[in-house]
Amino acid sequence: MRPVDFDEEVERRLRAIGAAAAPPVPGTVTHYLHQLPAAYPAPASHTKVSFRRLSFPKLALSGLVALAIVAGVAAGTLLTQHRQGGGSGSSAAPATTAASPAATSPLTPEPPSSETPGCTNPPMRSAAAAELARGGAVIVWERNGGPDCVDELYAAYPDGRTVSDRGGAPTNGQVTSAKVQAVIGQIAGVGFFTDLFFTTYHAPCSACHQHSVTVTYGSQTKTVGSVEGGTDGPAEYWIVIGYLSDLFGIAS
Amino acid sequence: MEGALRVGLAPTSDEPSAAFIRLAESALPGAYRLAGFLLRDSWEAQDATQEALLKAWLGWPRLRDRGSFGPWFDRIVVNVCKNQMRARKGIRPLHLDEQMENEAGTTDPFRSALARDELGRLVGKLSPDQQIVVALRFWRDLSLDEIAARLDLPPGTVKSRLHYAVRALRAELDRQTKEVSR
Repeated sequence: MRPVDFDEEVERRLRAIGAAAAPPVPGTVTHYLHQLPAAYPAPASHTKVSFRRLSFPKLALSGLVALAIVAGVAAGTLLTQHRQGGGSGSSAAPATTAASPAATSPLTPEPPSSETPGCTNPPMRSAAAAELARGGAVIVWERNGGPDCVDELYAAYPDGRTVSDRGGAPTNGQVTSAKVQAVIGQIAGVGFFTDLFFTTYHAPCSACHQHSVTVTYGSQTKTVGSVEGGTDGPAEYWIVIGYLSDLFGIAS
Repeated sequence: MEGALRVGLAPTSDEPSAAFIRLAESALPGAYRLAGFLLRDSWEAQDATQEALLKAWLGWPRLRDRGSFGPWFDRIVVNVCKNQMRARKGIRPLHLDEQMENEAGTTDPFRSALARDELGRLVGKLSPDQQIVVALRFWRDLSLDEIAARLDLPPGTVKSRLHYAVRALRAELDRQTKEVSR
């Protein structure tokens, strides 16, 4: 008599267990599904931009176009600097940073980010972000990588002042103090300061941004990071990113 | 500006929700069953499925390939269940109405299916990662490649986890058989 292969037996018995239960989806779950869009209006998401809805070839193409633009701008900048270096030098300082307080901001002295074509996921500037938070910024948001290979750092202060570093000279902006407070309230409202918000990390894909958000609310300061496409982190994190995109006026 | 943006997008706001509901409805039976076997309880499976639905809805705009909704949703369900499994760390809450359910003959479908065979109980002793591959393989009827896609793992890792899980089950069954035969 041929002996029964034990692995086969285990697998057969496991399948039999599975076959013994195929209950229908409870009505409460189906009902919940239908209520979701009304109960939870889509996050900034639907106001988000469009490249997420592109197919991969179009996405890749748009990435290449973005790279070409970046490379063109970089080449133009180098050429301009070269020409200015050969002149008197009296007008070499860019007007935008001449008297700007942001010129001494911790945003500037960071090491250069990606210099290679294609996104090599520039390192997160956590030291600069921490310095901004220590310097009074109540919101610090870093976003880098992605199809556009960005390396961005944003900060907002209680008085409504904002600083944006998108890879070039940092620029100052101004919103109302109430706006900053409202955004912080919204962020806290979705549970940012609870245990439900925790940092997750994945090796970012070429089309995914990495994010790090530091928020100060009262006596609490908390930093939470995540990578787009990760599904093990808090879903509400992307609502926070939507609030910040709105605050800093970017299409995330 | 905000207002203009919202007004401009308003006409299309219904379209994503309809597509989401349609895709989620088709994925729900498998996902609920997966959650039920992983959590070994229909009430917990309901909670987990609803939590996964919320996560999926909030993450829906970031899903670039709508054709991969099923695997993507399964992955969310697995992650939600995994968090719950880790949170309870081997402690299965005993429902107060379990005895009443038994008396009424309306036992929990997942608990009763897993109680049919000693193997069902032994699977609960495996690590969460092993339980997940066993559930996906034998109770969700997926191939190794499909499991790998859902867990974002190389197929070799899935195969290895499955191998060790089945081997552990076999060893435990062996041990019990020897004890009985003594």
